[in-house]
Amino acid sequence: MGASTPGGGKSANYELNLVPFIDLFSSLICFLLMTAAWQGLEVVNTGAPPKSVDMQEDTEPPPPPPSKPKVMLTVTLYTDRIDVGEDNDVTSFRHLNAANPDYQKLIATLADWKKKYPERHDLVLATENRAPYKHLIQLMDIFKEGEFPEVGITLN
Amino acid sequence: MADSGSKVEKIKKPGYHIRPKYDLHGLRRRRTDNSKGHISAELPLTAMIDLFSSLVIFLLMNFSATGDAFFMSRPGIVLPSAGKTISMESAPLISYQNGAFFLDALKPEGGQIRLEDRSDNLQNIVAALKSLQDEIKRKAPKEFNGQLNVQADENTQLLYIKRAMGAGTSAGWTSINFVVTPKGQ
Repeated sequence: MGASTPGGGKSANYELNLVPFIDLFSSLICFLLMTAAWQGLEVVNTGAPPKSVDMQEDTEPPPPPPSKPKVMLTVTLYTDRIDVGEDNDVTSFRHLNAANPDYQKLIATLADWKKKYPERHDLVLATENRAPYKHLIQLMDIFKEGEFPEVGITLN
Repeated sequence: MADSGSKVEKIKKPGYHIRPKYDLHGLRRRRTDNSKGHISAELPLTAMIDLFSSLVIFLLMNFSATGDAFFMSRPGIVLPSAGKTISMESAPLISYQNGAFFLDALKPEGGQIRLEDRSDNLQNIVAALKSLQDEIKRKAPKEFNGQLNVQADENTQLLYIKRAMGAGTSAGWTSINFVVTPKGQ
């Protein structure tokens, strides 16, 4: 690097000192190698964000009871179908293919629920014991995309 | 050294004492003398800087401020993939494989819990989780957040996942995380 002066007699051919760069890069590479996360795994959380015990013990006054009863939004996963329900009003969607289920109707239902109950972020997910784990994860993904991140999974 | 006789020897300048078997006189002279054929060897550093830059960018993309989370992978388990995920944090890990449940966790005092349980109600795992919770609360109550990671093969029946979740919640670990691979990896 250097400035050339027209007609000047001095040479403008300077060399950049690369030794500090190498020192810096070496230190940076050592630090990043030590802190790199190699696993690349992530998690799907089942419901509300975790609370520490101290936070749970904070005694805040309980929220007032809602003026009208809360509608229970439920999704039930079976091996061959999905039932969605608002209280006792249950609709069944068949999987087109159990190995690769079609969730378009469920996505549409969640969008309807979001329009009807914009303040709601929770629903209850019940599952048949024989259903595969990957379908549960796919449903969790769909719920989070449909802005229902607080999913309660029934263990019965 | 002077001789008392007629002959006086000059003091000789000492040369190289450690010599290789084949001393390269010519090369040494060219490197040290101010003659025309002076050798000035320089290491080309540009390629090294390029390599370092690429490496730094790659490692920055993999950077995790919290470091690697505690995780014990099990051969043969294909984790399900999900799009809406959060980064995994260190927490006790319940794994299910081939009809057995495994608990892996780090103790607050150091050391590791490794446990296998084939019972239906996972009584050993529940007991270990309760004891771990007590240990954490005794040492640092604020550090206990009730997080539990669960891993299983994507085709595992949900019955076993629910058993693992039930064991966790009954032991007081109520924030269950399913370990997944992010979509696109």
